[in-house]
Amino acid sequence: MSATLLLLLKGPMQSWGHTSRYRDRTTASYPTKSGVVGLLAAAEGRRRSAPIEDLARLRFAVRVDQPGSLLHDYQTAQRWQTGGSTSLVSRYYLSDAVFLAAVESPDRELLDGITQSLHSPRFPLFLGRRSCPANADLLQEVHDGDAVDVLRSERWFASEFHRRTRPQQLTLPIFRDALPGEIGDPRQDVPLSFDQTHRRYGWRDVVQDAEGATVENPLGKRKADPFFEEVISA
Amino acid sequence: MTTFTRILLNPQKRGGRKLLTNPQAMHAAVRSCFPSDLDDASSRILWRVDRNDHDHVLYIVGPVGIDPTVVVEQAGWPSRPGESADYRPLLDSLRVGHERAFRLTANPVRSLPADGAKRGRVVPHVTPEQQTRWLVEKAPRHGFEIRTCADENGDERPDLLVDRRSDMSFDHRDPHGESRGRVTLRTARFEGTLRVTDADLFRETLARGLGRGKAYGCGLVTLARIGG
Repeated sequence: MSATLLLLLKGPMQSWGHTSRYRDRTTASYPTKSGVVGLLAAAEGRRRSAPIEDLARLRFAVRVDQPGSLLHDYQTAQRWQTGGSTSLVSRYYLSDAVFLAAVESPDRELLDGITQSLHSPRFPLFLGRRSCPANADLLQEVHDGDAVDVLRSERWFASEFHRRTRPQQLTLPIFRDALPGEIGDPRQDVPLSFDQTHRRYGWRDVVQDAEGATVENPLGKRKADPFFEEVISA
Repeated sequence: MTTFTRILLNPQKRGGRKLLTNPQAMHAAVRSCFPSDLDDASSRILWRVDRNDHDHVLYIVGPVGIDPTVVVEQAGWPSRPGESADYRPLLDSLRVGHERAFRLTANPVRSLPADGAKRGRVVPHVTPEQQTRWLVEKAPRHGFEIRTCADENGDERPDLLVDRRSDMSFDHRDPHGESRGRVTLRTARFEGTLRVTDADLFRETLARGLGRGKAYGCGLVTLARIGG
């Protein structure tokens, strides 16, 4: 019986890079495995060069509760002391996004240990980038069951404002690790080493769950078009 | 086969903005959804754009089947291909005495007699009162009447709301690119309830439109259940 630890990623800004190179610091539209594993490692107080294979082996899934919007931060920096050329950096963030991340392991004690360290993290926790501090209600509970099932049964965490803009019944997308033999979208976000002198990432396949999580939304809009309804129901 | 089509438009797309802001471009795009050998004299293509919060919905009524991809590709979403339905069952089901809610965007005008000229000068109706009277008086010749309801004082008044009154103004160009001056249309959106008084005449109204400015999104009457 596997167990699943849920994390609510709800900070005002988040940034989940997986293809960033040099001066374009992009963000994916949902959290990366490396970002979440790094957060867990920081909570446990592991150094950058410490081994993280046990954390990288955890199964990982994310539910998109509120997609948020893309924020572009254009920065310039000048070496005024030496008179070097100006550096231009583009950083991208997701603002106002809400995700529910699930890490699954057959070993419940491992997840309980992680929960303990998230209660009193050794290093500061942040959502993908150091300038995006984690929210206070980051830590949800450890549930029995596999990641996708737990994500399906958990309540919807979107803001009331966002709920009002959505239909009365909707499906939240769930992105999970591919099962053996399954073909998904390849991503290089499995951390092999966070060592600052040589960070390395491995590949995994990401699959969008066919069903997703269906939620009811009493605050939502009635989307039916009365004029078209009249034509097709005549 | 008379068809009723509904297409969701994307204002974030360059093509979507063009169609939503330029009635002449929209007219051309809607026309190109239909075969080019369509007989324009004996049939009519009607369209209207409804803005509900952030949604922009394009309704099209035409005399034959439609290929909505022409509009969807330049101004819609690939995952929302446009919904098309046969209009005939609804038209055939109409009977005298039927009551429906309706919406209409129209160009209410009247013609002032001009001395010495064969045709009068067309001037728009400006106030909501004038526009309401225009539709109430026009209705019987189009096979329906506006239902009445009692206001606070117990007086009977037409069950009709006039909103989104606006002026449209854009350059008219002929196919050879020569500007032929400016087109100005004063439009108003009517919402209310009606009762069918002449079913054949009313079918004609639904299929061929009401009032002027039909090429520019005016004149299409859409029906819905009352209270639905």
